[in-house]
Amino acid sequence: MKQHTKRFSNFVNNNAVLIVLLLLVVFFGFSNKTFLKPNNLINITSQMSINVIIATGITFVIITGGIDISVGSVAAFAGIFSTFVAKLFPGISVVEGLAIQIASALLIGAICGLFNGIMVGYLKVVPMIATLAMMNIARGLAYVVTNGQPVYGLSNNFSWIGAGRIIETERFPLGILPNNAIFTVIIVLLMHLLLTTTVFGRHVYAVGSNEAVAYLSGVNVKKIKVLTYMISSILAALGGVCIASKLNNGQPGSAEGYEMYAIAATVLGGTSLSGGKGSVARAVIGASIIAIINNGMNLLQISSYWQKVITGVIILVAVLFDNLQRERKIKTSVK
Amino acid sequence: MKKFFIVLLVVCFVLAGALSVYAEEELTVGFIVGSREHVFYNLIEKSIMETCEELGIEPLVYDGELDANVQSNHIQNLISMEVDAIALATVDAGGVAPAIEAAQKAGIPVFTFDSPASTSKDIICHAGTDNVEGGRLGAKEVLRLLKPGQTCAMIGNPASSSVLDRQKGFEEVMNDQKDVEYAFFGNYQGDANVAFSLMEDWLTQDPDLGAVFCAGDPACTGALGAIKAANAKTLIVGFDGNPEAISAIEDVENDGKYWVSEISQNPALIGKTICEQILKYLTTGKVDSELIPIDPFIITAETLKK
Amino acid sequence: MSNNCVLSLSNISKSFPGVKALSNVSLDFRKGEVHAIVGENGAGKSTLMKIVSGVYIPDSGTITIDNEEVSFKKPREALEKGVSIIHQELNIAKDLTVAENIYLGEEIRLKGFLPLIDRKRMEQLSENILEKMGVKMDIRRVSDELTASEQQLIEIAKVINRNSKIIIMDEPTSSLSEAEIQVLFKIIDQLKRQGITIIYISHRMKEIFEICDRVTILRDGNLIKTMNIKDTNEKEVVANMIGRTITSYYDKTTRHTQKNEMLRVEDLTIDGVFENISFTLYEGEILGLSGLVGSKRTDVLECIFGVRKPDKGKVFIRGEEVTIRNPREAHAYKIGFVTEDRRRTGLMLDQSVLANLVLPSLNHHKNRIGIVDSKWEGQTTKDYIEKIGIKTPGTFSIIRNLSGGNQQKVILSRWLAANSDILLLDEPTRGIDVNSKAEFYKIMNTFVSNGGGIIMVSSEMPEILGVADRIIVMREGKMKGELDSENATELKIIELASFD
Repeated sequence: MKQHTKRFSNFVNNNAVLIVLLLLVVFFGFSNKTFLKPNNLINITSQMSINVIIATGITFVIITGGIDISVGSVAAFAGIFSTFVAKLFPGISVVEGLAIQIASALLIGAICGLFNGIMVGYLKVVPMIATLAMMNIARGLAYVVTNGQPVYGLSNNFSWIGAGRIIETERFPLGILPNNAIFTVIIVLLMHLLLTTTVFGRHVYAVGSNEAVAYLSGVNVKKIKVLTYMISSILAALGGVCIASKLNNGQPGSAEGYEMYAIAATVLGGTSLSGGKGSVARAVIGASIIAIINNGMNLLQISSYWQKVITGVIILVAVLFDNLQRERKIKTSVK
Repeated sequence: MKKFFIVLLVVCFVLAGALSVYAEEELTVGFIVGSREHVFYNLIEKSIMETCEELGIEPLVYDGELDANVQSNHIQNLISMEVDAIALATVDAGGVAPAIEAAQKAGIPVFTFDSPASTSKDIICHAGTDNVEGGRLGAKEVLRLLKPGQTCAMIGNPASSSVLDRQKGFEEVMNDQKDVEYAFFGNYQGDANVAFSLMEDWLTQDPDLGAVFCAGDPACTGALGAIKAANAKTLIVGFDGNPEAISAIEDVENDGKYWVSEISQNPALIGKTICEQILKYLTTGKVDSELIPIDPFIITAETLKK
Repeated sequence: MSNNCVLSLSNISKSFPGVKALSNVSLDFRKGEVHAIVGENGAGKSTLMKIVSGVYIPDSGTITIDNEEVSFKKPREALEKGVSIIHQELNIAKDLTVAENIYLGEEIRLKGFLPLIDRKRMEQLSENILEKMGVKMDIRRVSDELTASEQQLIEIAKVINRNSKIIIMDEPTSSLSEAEIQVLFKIIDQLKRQGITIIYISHRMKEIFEICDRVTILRDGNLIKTMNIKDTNEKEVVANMIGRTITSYYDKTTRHTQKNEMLRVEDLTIDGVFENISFTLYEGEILGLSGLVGSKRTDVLECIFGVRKPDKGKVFIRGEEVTIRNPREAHAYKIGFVTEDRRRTGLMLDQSVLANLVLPSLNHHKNRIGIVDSKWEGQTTKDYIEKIGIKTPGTFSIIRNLSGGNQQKVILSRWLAANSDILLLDEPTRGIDVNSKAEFYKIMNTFVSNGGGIIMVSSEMPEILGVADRIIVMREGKMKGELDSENATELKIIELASFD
């Protein structure tokens, strides 16, 4: 019996965040009849996908012990850029649209990430400051190139990735799977494999756990840092083109403050801001929690003011619980 | 070395003084727009620049960044530059009141446009959209578009006073209706992507939602995306009258099927009016009226054809 | 119980989940004695000291200070009763001056209601304290610039200033050189004469027999016995610690060095740090680098490993001149480096044993698209755990939870797994217990007898004499001499290391 309770408490301790997620689902499922409808669940996957992509990227940086607060601005800039390019070719097909979106994201993401990475890795600028600079630069450029006006009048084909769905059935004439959710799953899987199975992934953890050890073990610390910032920016940019595609419109002011959602998702999942710990899967769980809170509260018609307060409190509680666990573990390990 | 810098500093001051004397031949007016990150203010700014050029006023335009503190700083700078008049689109009426008072004490007349400085006294003239009226118009458009038995919704932003006015006007009309249900109200926080999610969530709850009043064009953009993605038939009544709205409404085969109506402000007229009133005041000491409401008007595919 | 008993522990027990750390320990400390506590890692020394200093609350048992029963709930309460602890890892605020550090937490305030600090008075009083200790030090210096031993002196000054009756010193000599240890011993002697009780925790037998009055031996959480130093000898103490008699500490088999050159440095110089270092490491030998702390031995190793750039000089690997610009290039020449500070530069504390062990080898065990050969790493880790005798619950256990000796074995395995044939070891056995040390030397010996070469920096005289084939002595960044293991003695080394 004792064994049982112990195992149960262990399970609770190790999966606190997952349990919070389940509780939320149960709570909203009972309090609103729409919440568990297939259509709404499809909506949630589509709504969370952008935050998931951005949080996945930022996870790499956070594991190295850094931070990237430029992701929201980079997303907006890349989104604007993709609509700008798309505007040059009026009659684009779905495939061409996708090509433009991915190419824009790779280009803008790589440039912004390279800048951040060089600042942090080679010039030893504090990550917060380097990415703060980038945050302003990218946001500013988004306004400069658009002159502050949205870019509109794009072909409907441009919105395939952001708003389209596949597998149309009789019950679901719109399609079951949102394209951006599929896209997100592919990215998350690739990034998960990159982080867990490759030498690069191991080096990312090593840099975050102990930079000196990584360096002495022959890890090219600077290169790893540059690459993580590039991944963060490229994924942010992919998120940004998804937003632009979803809205079929380029908004220079979009994704404002999304860095905070992404960081919240990552930390909520249990990735430590001091580096060395975390995973893509955890970021996904964190992002799901945030998306479910927002969706559930929208359905319950809770005022957006309270939504903010509640989101904040849930983040705080989850993270505090996590810290408590960690402290207990460390205490038992000190003999 | 120190001496050299002092000399340099003195020279700079003298030069600056000389330049400002030189500049005084023309009337200089400081304008503070709400935010350069909003199309609406950009259009007002454009109109201000053009009108000033015409009237022979030298405009100094600053970005208020939707921040009362920033606006106050701009006002203080303008006071020390001894401009002939200051015109601003207030962000927070109470927040800029002390700065406005300081300007008035320095003998600089203060004008407002777009949103009024309701807590300040002695504002010479205000020219701006009647947002409450705009909200009423929006409600009327929604009622016109609804089929019997359908519900309607509004996407607003309680953080902005002008949007709150629109909501007031909208609800005023809606509350008088007994047979129409006004079911949802959401806050899009100025973010089109948030408006998208709001709309998406509502449509799962009520796929037959008849019409939505979006108190800002970014909200329309988001709502439009969600409606198209959900293949719903909900109609959009927008507010602002920005170019993207006009382009969408014109596109009757596609976006215009949903985004059918727009309550348009008239940024060009707001800019023009305030400039004209300033010049009138500075030359004759009088204005046409203390409050010049610039009425919003309705744009639909039909009105555009004309 | 005699009257001069200051601190008395009776029936102290403490358990942690799964471990009985202390069981029924009863022990008296007398006024003005230096009392050594010895035991292998995990014997319960640190737990006992943490209980005495108020970090842990015992599960049962009582603590009596000056015939008054006390129960500490936090370290602060212990401090107020006159119990201070000087940790192995020094708690010095690096950006503060000597005086500020001595008064850290006890700052003297200027009269008046403003929270201002009376810097002048603090400096004056600090000077007095240091003078009493017989130490000369500029009290306005920033602590960051001080050597490890100077920082330790500050710690001692700090506890003296707090009128401590009982001072616990945890491995106080682990970062000190011989000469500095003598200074410390003089101070301990002084403190003793002032009636202060010192609880001295150390692995070093020689020191214990030099300075202590009594010794208490702990094993597996039990008190084995307390003896007067006069009535015992090193062998007996060690035997009691590990529960059996060991014949030889150092497993030194006579090696026939084949005179195959592995590594040669010529005139290696970093301006202002060390100059003109030249030596050769041959296949199958352990080359010791001896000297006082601050003689820049670590810097020489770092320079060879590519961490620091030399201003002058050449490095040859197997006769070929090479330039090593960073650790990555050092690996290419099969050099491995075990650093002196395990926690800071040796371990990824929150990662698994496996992750710590395979890190440098990963680049050689991946496929075309960069995926790690997980079969290889799992097998290799298991192999080393077995071969080296690393005590760990599994390959994925977090390394923080291993004992110091086992952590050090993982670090060594890291370089063995990377196929290194030259190992640079910097104080490799610092702070690990006797048994682990003996095992560690065995591994080193196997490594060199298989054709490897080791350069070992050590400040422990018996160790370097017992392990190294040749010893190079450095002083203040210069080479002062080379000794063969046959005719090297402690005296000779100290002479070279400290006098002209």
